[in-house]
Amino acid sequence: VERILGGDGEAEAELVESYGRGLALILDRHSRDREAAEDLYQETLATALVKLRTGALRDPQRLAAFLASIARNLAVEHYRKAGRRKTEADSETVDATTDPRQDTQLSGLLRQENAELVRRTVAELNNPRDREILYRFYLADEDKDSIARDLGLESLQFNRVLHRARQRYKVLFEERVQNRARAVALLSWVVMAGLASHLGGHVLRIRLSMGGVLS
Amino acid sequence: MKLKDMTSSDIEDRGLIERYWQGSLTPDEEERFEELFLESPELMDELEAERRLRRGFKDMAAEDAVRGAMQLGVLATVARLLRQPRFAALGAMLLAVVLLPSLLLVSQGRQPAPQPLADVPVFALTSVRDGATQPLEISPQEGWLSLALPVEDDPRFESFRVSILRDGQEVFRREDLEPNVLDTLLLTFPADFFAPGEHRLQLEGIPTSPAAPVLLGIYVFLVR
Repeated sequence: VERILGGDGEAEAELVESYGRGLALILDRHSRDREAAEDLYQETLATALVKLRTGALRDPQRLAAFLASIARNLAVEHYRKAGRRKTEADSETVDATTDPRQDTQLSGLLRQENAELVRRTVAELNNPRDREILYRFYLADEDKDSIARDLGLESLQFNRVLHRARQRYKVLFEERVQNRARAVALLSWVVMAGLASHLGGHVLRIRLSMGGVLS
Repeated sequence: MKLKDMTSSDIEDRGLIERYWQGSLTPDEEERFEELFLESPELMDELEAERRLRRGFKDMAAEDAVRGAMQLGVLATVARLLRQPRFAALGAMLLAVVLLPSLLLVSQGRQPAPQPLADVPVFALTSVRDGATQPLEISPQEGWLSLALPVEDDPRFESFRVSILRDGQEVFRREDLEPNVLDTLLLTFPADFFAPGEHRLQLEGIPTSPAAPVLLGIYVFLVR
């Protein structure tokens, strides 16, 4: 904090490096869409740096709290303004912005692919209780207490069981993502190799024809 | 115990990570938890993994809802068209075209190749009053099922709330629901989500102004 106050640019970069990821999480939590969270991220960092340069933070021990509160306040302010704008907008504009058919093809494809990946990963979980807990908690948005009651678990036990189910899911999911990345890399390699051999043929023909001309 | 003194197993036991994304921490807890994870790369890893998982399930639910809505939309459009007198003849022809090959196959003693009608069965619920109507029967198969609830485009409500009860116990509750472009609320569940028995679904409108939710309908369905 003192280095930033003294105009040290490297210290600012270090601050972004250390806290940027956490701030992005906070903004994601307090935003309703990813685009807004990304815009607010830039604004949060800019505001924080300006405030730090001007000595707005008296106690450097409170840096995390200071940054988190800037992120939260900017998100609240963003939606307060957006709420005001929404009441002024005509219903057609509002409909257009929320119409699922406006989804771009790319985001639709990514969503499909992600959905399929999750579906397969859950289906691969060995323990049926893991599957049940994940479906009921994350998909059906069921209350923790009611799932715990059905499974005969105390609240604390339930949190542990959910945590373990999540960890097993995470391991499988990451394996699948890595397999997919390897498959994509292999496919790219095959395509590139095919392209190179195709182009190589042309180059050879050009060389041969040039050789013929030269000889 | 102060949040800053917590170990990772304390955080796991209190379910802080999922409660954070769920938005169910108190404002004070949330504030302190944010201060805590800003300084902890391990906690951030956990939070990111949880977010990825939630997004994945959300994408999966959205995909199922889109598929279900498309099937429902096609059926609704055909039904609407066939109700008009000028399309009645077309409807009869369409029915003949659909039925004829099946009849021919049956008459030749052959069964048509088994074809799923849809990936996700959609059950359209109709409101019942005082048990005057027979409840819809649902026999869940493997996979998923969707419940479709028609809702009026009523400007009084900013969102809807659905609760499902079985034997007086709430088994499902979802707030902030908004109808799709077909003015339908589509809820998709794993096929084994419902235990056999009678279920009562309660649909409420959440007013735009601060006021109590308005009961819009009760739907009863029987799971076999």
